[in-house]
Amino acid sequence: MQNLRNPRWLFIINTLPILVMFTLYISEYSIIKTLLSEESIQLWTNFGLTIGSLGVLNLAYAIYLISTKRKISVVYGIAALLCYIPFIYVYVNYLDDIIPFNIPRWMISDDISIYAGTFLMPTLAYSLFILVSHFTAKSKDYKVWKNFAIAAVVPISWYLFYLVLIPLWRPLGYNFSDHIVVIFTILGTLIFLFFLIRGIYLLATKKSELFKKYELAWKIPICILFPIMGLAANNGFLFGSTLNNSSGIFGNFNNHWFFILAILNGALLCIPDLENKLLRLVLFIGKSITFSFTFYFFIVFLPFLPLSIIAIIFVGVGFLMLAPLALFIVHIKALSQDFAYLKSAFSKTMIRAISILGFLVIPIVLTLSYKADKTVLEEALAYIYTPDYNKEYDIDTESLQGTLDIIKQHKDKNNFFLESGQSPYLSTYFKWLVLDNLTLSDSKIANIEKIFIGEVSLNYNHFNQRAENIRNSDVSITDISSKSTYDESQKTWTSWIDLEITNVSDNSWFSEYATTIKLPEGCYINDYYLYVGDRKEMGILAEKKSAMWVFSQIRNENRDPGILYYLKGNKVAFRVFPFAQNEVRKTGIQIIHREPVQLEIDDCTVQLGNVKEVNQNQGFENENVIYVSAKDKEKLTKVKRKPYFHFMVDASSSGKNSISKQVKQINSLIADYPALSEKALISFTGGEVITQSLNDTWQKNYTSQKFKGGFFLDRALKKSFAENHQKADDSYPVIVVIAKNIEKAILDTDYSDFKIAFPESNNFYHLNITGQLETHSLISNPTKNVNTTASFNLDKTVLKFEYDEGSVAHLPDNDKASIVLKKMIFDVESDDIKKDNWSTALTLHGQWQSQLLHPEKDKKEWLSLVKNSFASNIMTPVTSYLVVENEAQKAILKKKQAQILAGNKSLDADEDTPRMSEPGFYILIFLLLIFIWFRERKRFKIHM
Amino acid sequence: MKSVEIEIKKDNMKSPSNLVFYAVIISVFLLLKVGYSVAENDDLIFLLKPITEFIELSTGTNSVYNTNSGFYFEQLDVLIDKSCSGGNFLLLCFAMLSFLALKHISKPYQKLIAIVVVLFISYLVAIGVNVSRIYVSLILESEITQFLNTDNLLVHEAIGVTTNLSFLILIYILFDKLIQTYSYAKLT
Repeated sequence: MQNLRNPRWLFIINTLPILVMFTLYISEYSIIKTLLSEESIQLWTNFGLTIGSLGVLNLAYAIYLISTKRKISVVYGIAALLCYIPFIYVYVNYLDDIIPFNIPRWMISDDISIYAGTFLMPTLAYSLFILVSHFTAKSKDYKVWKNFAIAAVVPISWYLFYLVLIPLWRPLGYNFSDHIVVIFTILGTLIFLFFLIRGIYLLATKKSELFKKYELAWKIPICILFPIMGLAANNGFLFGSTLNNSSGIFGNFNNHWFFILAILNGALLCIPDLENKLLRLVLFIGKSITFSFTFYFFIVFLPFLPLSIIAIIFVGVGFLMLAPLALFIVHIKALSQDFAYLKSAFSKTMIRAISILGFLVIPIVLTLSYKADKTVLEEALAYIYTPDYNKEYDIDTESLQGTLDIIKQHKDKNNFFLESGQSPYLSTYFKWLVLDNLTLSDSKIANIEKIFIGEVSLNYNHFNQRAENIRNSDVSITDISSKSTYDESQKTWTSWIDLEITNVSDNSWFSEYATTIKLPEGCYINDYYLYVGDRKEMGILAEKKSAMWVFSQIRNENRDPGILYYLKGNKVAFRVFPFAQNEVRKTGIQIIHREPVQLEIDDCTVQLGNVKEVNQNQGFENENVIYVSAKDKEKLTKVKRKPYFHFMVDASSSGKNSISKQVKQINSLIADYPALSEKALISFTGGEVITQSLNDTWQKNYTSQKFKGGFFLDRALKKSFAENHQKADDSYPVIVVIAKNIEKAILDTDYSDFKIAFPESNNFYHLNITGQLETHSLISNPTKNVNTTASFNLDKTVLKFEYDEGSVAHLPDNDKASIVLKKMIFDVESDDIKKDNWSTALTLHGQWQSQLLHPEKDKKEWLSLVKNSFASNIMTPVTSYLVVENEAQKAILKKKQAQILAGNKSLDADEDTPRMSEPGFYILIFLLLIFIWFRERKRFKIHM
Repeated sequence: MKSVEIEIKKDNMKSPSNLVFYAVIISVFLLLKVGYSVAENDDLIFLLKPITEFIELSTGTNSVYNTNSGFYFEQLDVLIDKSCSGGNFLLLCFAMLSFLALKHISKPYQKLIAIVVVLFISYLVAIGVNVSRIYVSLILESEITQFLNTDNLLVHEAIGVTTNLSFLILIYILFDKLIQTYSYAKLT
């Protein structure tokens, strides 16, 4: 224990933790500083300066001791306790002011409140060790039982105090009594821990025969029984599992590895000291490896040590909280004894290197396992959200299931004390390494499970979004007007639609106005306002997800937000909140459009632009997109394209049972419609989608499918849309879904965004289990049939539109304008983006369409689309117009927008631009240290 | 003579005053490391600018600076930003050379001067090494990636580790020899 008074320890137990704590607090502070009040900032500064000064004093003291070759004095132990305990106490008292409640919890780390406790506790624990060391003279023969007895006296006396004295307590004023109790608690805890540590220390160092002889009698409980019982108690097994089986009081330690390592570690520590040097070395390696396990629990439980005494009083098994501390002392002792024994046979450097490498084994294995999880997850996400339809994916679903389980564990949060599904520190590390500090939403996890595993885990059934009762029937438009102006230079209209909305409800609850506006083709929203009181607030264009998040946050606070955002296709959601009883609110939307149009909002119709004023052909084309006006379409030739079947059969995990029936159904259809079968395609649709022509091999290939995952019909449809739009020839697919239960299919609610790919009809067909043909709509709830006794309607015509010498597009045969993409993929130059410009809006429309049909470009194109939308003021499906009342929220939104817009487009770096990054710092430092070690060793040997 | 040298070294290593300097070096190292972790492109312009100038000169291309993304080379389609600044190399080089210098220098004021000089040398070396690393990566990265049919990030990392480590080792040996020769000359 004398080694413990080496001043170098101060670097490890004080300087290093304070530096880490500083770094963590600085990173948290930099995020929330703009939201903090002056008082809070002053507190941050004061606490920062105080702890910084304490840290510097410690460092200076350590350097002074080293340079004067002195050991740490007992005064240090007392002084450190007297400085750091009040610091933590005051910090905890001010915690609510340091991180006020108005700071959104998502902005800060979950562990911020225990940082101070965690990182200063090593100093406190060390100070206690110093005191124990000082007050345990080697020459004296202390009685172990006496120390344990005194330690036990503390909780017992507290218990009596609680039973007898508390009822007689006459408070002398809240603050006074409060502080007195706290001070006594701290003193009691210190006395308790002092004697406890001394007891364990004496136990571990006793040389008397009795303790040697019955070593296992105390080692087995401390090293094996208590840790196992502690894990079991934490996970609720000791209490008849009152806790969720994926959480624990101090965190989730349910993983079987915790138990395996606890037993292994305990067993290694219990093996008596061996005289065989090689075996002793093996034992030393084992103990070094499992030391990271002991160290982890020591660190995790360090902040809770003061609570152990309270836990002992209220729950008997609270003493198990001390198991990590006891285990840590015994483990350190065992390692140092082995080291002392082995240094006679092996070089010290080698033993040190072994112990360091051994210590790193578990962290490295953990990191590699997390890295593997990251790879699997990224592959799965890319497959679902940014797929390349031409690429074959091979997702290891078993590994993915494991990864998802781990993500769910790390994500899980409960509010009871510290009970959580997360493992302390490990979850933070996991989030950082695997999820880049982001979270994977519950709905995304459910989606991945549904696609790759075929079913959603029970815990996540609440994903089905709650039906938000947003549309209030008592809130409706009471006045609507429009004002259109014609821009001669652009040859486009700009129209303001002014609305007066009234809440005629009888009750005094706040109501919300919500509606869906269907914009005609070629109409784009480029401004928005909402009156907040008497103030006309103009809308801010923001990235859609952030805007929707802000909207829902403000809505919860009953403030004044209004929002406009695209749903699917040309459908735009429009929401205003709140409406008090009989309140009338004014709002307005600006639209730019090429042709005069009529717009319907709820039951009202407004005329935008004047047909008489401008009498000319409104067709238009720019470099990438063509706008074909209704007038232009009148001149186009009507054609009938040749239909062919595209069967989409259920090859999910539940589709295997109906193979023969479905083969029979397909064969029957082929026989009935031979013309449609000539070029027919079949897609085997499970988690993966495999498409082939309906040739001789299809039946064989069907039966040899993996039948894994869910019925991912969404992928089959989108793939078909993209391919069909790309080839643009004189044939078109008639989609027939062959499945026992289409309601189980993974489908979007609306495919209007892909309308460009199915000009003939919005319908597809489902051949159900009874052989009945049902019609389903692609643009409205595709899982529900619209007609149960359907027959194929193959008589549809389309309009053939030729452009750019030889290119052909097929447009819906109707009297509405259509949009044609000249190129499937195109770059939009920043110079082409102009403010409030209709041609720009058309280009952005094309860019969005292109992104939908080529999701593999999504990562790159998304950012470009958001920026172009900001730069042009045109709302697109990736942005949203939002009015907020709160200046701070406005500032946050604007700041975010400014950050994204900061770069010049042509110079702008997206995520894909390669960076000439430096190699990993830690790899380099590791390799360099190996080199220096070898070189110095060699040199040392030469001189020897 | 060698045994004399070793004794000097051992004495230096054990000297309590050296421990103070070690603490100073570690403190400077940690301070710079923390500073580097929170620094942005603008703060690291003293490293990024000369590197970019050399790369422009050696490749005959031009770059444009943007606060958020760093120096962008349109012709090469690469970025040189904070992550490429060579800050980590500078820190490692500084720590390594300072420790080496302390072993051989005995007078306290010389040690202090040595630490400052080493910091400046490390800065120059970091720029030179980083330019080499980036240049090698620009030339070889795509070739090796194609040849090995592997992930280019892996190749980039491998090139980076090889270049930086080779230079660090080379500098270590050279500096060690240089300082030994100097100490030997003084002793004789």
